[in-house]
Amino acid sequence: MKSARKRPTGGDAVLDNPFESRGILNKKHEVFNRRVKGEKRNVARARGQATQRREKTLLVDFERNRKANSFRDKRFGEDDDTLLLEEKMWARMQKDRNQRSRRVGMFNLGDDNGTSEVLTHRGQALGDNDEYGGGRQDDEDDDLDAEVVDQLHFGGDGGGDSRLTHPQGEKTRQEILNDIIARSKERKLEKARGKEEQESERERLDEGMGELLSMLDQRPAKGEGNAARGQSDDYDLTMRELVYEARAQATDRLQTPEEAARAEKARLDKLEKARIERMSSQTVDGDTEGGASVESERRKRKGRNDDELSDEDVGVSASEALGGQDDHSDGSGDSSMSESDSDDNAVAAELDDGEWQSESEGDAEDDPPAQVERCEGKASPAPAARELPYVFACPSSYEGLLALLAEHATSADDINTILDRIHKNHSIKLDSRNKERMHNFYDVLLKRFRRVGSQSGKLSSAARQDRAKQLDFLSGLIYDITAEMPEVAASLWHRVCGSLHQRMVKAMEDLSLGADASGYWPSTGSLLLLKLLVHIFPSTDFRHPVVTPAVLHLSQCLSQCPVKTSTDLSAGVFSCSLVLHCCLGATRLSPEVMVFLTSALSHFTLSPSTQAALSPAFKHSPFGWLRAAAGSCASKDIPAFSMGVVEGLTLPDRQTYAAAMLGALYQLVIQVAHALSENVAFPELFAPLQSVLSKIQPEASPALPLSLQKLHVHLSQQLSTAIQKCASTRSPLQWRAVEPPVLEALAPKFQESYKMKKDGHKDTEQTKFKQLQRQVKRERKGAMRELKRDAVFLEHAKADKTAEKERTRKRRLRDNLTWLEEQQATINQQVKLGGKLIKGGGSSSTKRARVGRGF
Amino acid sequence: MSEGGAAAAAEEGPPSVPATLDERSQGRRVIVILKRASLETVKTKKGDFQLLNCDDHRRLVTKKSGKDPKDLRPDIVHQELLALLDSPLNKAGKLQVYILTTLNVLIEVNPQIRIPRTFKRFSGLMVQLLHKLKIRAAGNSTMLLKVVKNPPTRHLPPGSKTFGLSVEGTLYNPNHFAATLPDDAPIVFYIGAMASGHLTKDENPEIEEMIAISEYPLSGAAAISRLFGGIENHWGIF
Repeated sequence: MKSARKRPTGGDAVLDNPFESRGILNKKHEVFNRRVKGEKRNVARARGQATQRREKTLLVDFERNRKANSFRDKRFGEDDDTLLLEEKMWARMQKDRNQRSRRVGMFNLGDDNGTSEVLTHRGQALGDNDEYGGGRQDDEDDDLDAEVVDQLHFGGDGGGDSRLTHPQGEKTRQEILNDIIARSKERKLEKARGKEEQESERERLDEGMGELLSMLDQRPAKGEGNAARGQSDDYDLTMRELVYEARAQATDRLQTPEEAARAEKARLDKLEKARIERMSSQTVDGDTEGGASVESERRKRKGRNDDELSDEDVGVSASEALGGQDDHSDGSGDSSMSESDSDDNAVAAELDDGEWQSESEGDAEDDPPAQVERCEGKASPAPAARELPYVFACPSSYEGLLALLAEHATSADDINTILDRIHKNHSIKLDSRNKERMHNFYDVLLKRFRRVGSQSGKLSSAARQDRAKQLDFLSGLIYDITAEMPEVAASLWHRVCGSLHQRMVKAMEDLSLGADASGYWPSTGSLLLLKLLVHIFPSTDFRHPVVTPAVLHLSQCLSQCPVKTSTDLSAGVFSCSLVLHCCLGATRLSPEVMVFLTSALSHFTLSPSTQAALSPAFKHSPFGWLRAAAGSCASKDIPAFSMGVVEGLTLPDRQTYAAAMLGALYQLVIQVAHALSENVAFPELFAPLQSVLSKIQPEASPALPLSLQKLHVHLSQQLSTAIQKCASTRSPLQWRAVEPPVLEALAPKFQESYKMKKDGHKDTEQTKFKQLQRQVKRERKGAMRELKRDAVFLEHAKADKTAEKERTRKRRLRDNLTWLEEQQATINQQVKLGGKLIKGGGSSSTKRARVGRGF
Repeated sequence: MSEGGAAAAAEEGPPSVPATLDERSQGRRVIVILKRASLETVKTKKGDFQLLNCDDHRRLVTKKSGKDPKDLRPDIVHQELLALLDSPLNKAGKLQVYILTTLNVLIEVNPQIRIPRTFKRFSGLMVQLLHKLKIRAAGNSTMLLKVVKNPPTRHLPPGSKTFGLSVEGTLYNPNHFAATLPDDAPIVFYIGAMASGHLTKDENPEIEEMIAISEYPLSGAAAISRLFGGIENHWGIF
């Protein structure tokens, strides 16, 4: 049987056939840089290898099957056909010799005399150079010649160069060393000689230097510099000045507010002490008429001040001690104060009481300015002690303050100084326990401010100046103390606002009951106080514990209090300015102010009766004369606004008042229009104002003063431009736009780091199990495939064997038959020859007639 | 100028994606085929799969690999897709996009898809698409990206007019060009998504005319914006 399958052999020509080496033809996913198993496999080679492997393993097993024994030939090279017989023999002998030598060599001993190891250098044993060791211990070590060093250290000695050992054949070692020393000495000498020569040469050159210098053209020397350079200019002068100017000195560090206050108090105390000393010396000298009371008082004060001074000087730091001292001094000061009150100012005290009652009744208008003057005049011109004291007790009530002022003050400056010194002596910065004292003092200051502010306009010019001075100073002082203790100040101001409001409400109630009440508008002092308020506190805050109530109060006054007199009108306009101060900074709108201004301006129209009812406050206002008065005002400029009463005044004063009022109103409206120019409702807000303005007609007789006319035109223009601007920015109403239909957008679902695995990116137990299952399946299929191929291989092997057997049998059969045929042929030939030796049979040339089988 | 597209659409209700071939071949529509898009997956040394690009995989793309780093520009596809799918034309439901990659993978893009804005996320999306052959929406089962059978012509509606965009084509003003387009048949644009080179009529015999919309060679996204600007203007889509 012939093998149907052509088994591949190991021939390279077949294996490297490119048609056989094909990988995976259709990859499912083309991925760059990814290797897939079997991508470049060579099928033919793999098959050949598999067959070879099976022939070595499976076929051998198969052939050994059912055989109990096997013969192993362990002779050299018997299984290697490539070796020649001679080589085989040679290898056998080699191995035999090796084995024998290994056995014998175990007992070989080392050759003692032949193998002693000696270190050598250039073929000479190193120990031979020991003789040079002694010669090199002298102190010429560092001067050794390079030659020698080379010879001894690196020369290796011995060699061809034997100059040192045998220079001319008979130099000894001692001679050699002497030679070396001599040479080094000679070298040193040479060196020294060279140095000396150089020195002498240098000196020679130095001597010749003077001649050379005179030949050179040099810069002028310092002394003759100015002459050479000519006149010194400004720059030189300034520079010289700056050179000799004193350097800036290091200064003390800046003091903290507390330290500054303490230093100030110390200074005052010192001055007071000096003053008292001076006074006492004066009294001792001659003047005894000062009286016991003054003397005792001074002594008391002196004692107290001495205590304080000593405290300061010694620098007692324990706060308790200081506090105790302060308490004590406070008490003594108070007592002295009360004494002095009772002693000196009986009249003033009475006046004060009366004044206080009137104030408590709520009528501050008649707060007598004359009283202050009297107080001021009261201070007796004591001869030497006219100088103001430097230390004052802190007054806890307004009466106390008045008494103090009555005793010491002669002018507004004095009053200011006294208040300043009180503050400095009892500042909260000195001691936190001064808080209560300063609280009272602050209250007193507020009262004082209102009283001084309320002094009406009938004062003389000097008194007016005094008042202004005092108000200025008080403002500064109140401002300072507010900064020191803002909470206290806020609560006090809050109370002030509350009391103002209560007064206003009471007055309004009286008015509604029919009583002929006045005082619903804040007094001049109160208005000034409120003006101070809006400057002390942040006025533009949206909500502020002090400013907001104040503004509300003012707004209520503006909207509800009837305007009956020119004072009311003035107060109203002033209130307007205060409210605007708070509102305009924050671009807030105050409707009360708008209505008040419109109503006030409407009284300046040519026919005021029609406009009078715009605000209920102006219902019964007798201001018909205003337009005429303003029109007939003689002055060209706008007169200054004043708060005075004009009802009883002369015509020129009235005219001035009306013109000033109109000017103030114009200015306020300009302010409002400017601040609200960005407001979207500007045209609607200012429509009533504009209509009123249009009716004023400044040119119509009686024509207003020229400056007022200009102001009017300016205001009208401002309003109209602002209205136009606002109208131009307004966009018309539009229908609501319908959104166009949009294709709905959908977000895709994907993993950002995608893994091309069957199980995806999951890493659970289940996935692991599945992976194992797949692996098992894969292995199982592989094993099955292998077994199948083994079976096929064996089948082929068996078939080959059977075929071989059959072939052998056939060959033998053929051989036998051939032999037989040959025999037969030989016989036949003999027969044919016809010898008598063999008879019958065989084939002859004469053919026998054929006879059929059946016949 | 035709009647307001938005107003017309408002009467019809929200636009929908045409599903059948009949619907696709009706009315004014634009079909864009991005040719020679460089979208190919690469396995990095870390073992994760990314979109092959010239920036991140410069070392992998050696001479031996037979690739030119200049050609590996999937960011161009990203830009063009953003320009296409963010256009008002697409929002109005008048656009259909196909992508044909250099490895001859044809991708159908649903007009509703919101393409990731960052390239990294886009890369992840494309890798997953090339492996799974489809991408669905996050909320529902709408198919947003899908690998479909080649060639692209089998997806084009019959009777559509086909143009190719190249600077070497006939120069048109986009507005004037839009005016010459037929009102009833879909219009097909072949636009290149490769870094260099031109589309030619020889390579794409289905193209009827090569057009240019600027004297200058524009980037793909810019050309799309310009072309669509003209068409939207003409069709009244704002």
